Amino acid sequence: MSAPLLIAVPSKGRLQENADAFFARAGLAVTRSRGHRDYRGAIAGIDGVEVLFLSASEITRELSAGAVHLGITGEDLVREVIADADDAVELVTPLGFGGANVVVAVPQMWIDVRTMADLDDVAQGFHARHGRRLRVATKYVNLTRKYFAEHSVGDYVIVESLGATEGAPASGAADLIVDITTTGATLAANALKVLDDGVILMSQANLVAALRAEWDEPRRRALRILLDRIAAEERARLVREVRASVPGDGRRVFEEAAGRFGCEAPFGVEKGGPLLLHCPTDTLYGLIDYLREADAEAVTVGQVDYVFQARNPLYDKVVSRLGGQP
Amino acid sequence: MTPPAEPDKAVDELLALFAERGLTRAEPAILQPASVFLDLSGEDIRRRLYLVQDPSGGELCLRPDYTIPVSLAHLAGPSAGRAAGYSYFGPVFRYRPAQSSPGEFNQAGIELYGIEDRDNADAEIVALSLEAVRRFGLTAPEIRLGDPGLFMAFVEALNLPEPWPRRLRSAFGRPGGVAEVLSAAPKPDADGRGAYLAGLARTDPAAARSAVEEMVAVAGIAPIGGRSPQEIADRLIEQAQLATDGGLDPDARDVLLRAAAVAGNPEDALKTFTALAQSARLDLDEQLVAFAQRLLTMAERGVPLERMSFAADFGRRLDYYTGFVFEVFDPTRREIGQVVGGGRYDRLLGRLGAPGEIPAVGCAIWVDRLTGGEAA
Repeated sequence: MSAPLLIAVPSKGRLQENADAFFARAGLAVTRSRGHRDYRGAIAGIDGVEVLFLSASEITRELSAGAVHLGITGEDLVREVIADADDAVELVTPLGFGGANVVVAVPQMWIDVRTMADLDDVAQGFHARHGRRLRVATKYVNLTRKYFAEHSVGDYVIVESLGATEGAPASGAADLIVDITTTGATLAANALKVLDDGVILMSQANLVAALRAEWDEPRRRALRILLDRIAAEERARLVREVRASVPGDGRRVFEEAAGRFGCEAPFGVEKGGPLLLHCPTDTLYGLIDYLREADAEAVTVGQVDYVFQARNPLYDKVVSRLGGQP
Repeated sequence: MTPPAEPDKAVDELLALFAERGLTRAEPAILQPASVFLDLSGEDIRRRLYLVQDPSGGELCLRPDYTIPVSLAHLAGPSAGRAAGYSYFGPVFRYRPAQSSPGEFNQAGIELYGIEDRDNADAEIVALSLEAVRRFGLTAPEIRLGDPGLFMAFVEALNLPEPWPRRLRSAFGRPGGVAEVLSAAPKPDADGRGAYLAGLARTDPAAARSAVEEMVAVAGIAPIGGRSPQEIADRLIEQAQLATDGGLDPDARDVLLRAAAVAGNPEDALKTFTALAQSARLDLDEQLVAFAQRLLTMAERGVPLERMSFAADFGRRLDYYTGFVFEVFDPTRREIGQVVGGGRYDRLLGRLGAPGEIPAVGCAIWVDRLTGGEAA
């Protein structure tokens, strides 16, 4: 057998639970070959795939180096850890969990500072007044440097912080921070506020493909199988199946419904037959109202588990970056 | 020019020239404390530094340039406090991925400390650097000249309120430069608090300040971060005044925009500055005479003024650099970038711990660009 496709998933905590749930939804049962202590696993029923359980930052580094093929990690880590993230990896799809913002937060007492421009102004006068530069505590050294440069803030130094960054201003270790926040409660509890234009990145967990990994034919086949299931689950989650029987020419009703509500007829439409449509969840009720107005006898709405389509946008996205034919 | 056929010989001749001029060869360590560079040059330099950690956790870097290490060595040596001249030649280390150039490359240079006759020292540096590039076959260089000190003299003479002097001083070496600062629209008074504060500040500055301090105290906000309530109050009042005064006085803005736009051959620039100062009734005689004196001294040293162009908005960040700056280019290979860059940095030695300001001027010679065909 050829070497397997390696997929790195979080080994502990909330991220792991969410990742497990994500795989389960996609019908991918992750098994640990020798119980919970093991750091390697497989996916039931799919050959040629090996699962590695690692920490989120390890996953990011392995993706960057191309030592694993796929991984689940936060976009914040991808952008921070991988210098040339756009060349090294492809964010295949956001997973809807692990959401958090990387923000610039200053003491609430700085009532004169609301924007990055204010911060720039304060930084400029700071050395003359205090004999030192403004200090920014963060573990996101690269994101901070890039964002501050984009806003022309130059007069500062970074104090690297490896934990409890939000406490740095109170302890006197720094003047402001760049950190991750979900609700802002921790920031507020530490008398900090986010600048109006201080959101550097809205991050969440992503399925990430390593472009520098070795992608031979067997691995591309395994990728296709994995992404088919993931895309099918994603598509199923985002649409509802609508059945209706309408009098007259069903094709005309469908054409208008397709234009107005973005629905599709996966199995085609026949002139006299009932309609079977897939409709995006956010336009569902509009479609139902429209069908009622078209004198539909009955409309049923149901949820499907998977929608497998001939074209898989996730797979196409990865393969186009790998420089091959889908 | 084409790069010299025998680069090593050109370097030997360069070092001989330095020795002949009585410059002491400085050989500072390659490994330097990173904090000095980060503190003096700001966080932005970090992306160019090769950082290493020693086993005890101290952060060190491979020297990214010679100026700071030579200055530190001067202050620690027997000549500290006296006039002294140094030369250097050796590798420096800077990450340059965009140019896909090697991170290790050779630079030479000169640093002159403690010479009170500044114009003379400035002229000396320019003249020496031209002699240096001639050793590498560059006989017809282009010289770019700037002096933010001259522009800042206009700012000072106009007696502008803060934050204008601070912002304009910070504009040098930034994208957009002073023109952007001068043309920026004033920030509107978002919550109406500004009008109240500005009014109060005009009649009773102390009352305005305590009003702000009270705002902070009433809100029960913990005083954290290195700024005092007073400092925050001062800036808030300053912003309020800016918003309600509608920004910079139009006459002053006009003078400064015209001063910032002065460019061309240095003698014409001097004439334009003089006319501008006269029409705005500003007394800048001292600075203008110094500028003229520097040009005269350079001409006496054989620096070809006709190969020089001056631009008022050209300058490095006014931080430890204090004014006069210059760059030398090879007109046939402009794309490789400057082959010499230099300037005056009277505030550096003070920052490094010297008692008070010590006049300092120097230049770095990009030997790798002069000897190789390497693009910048």
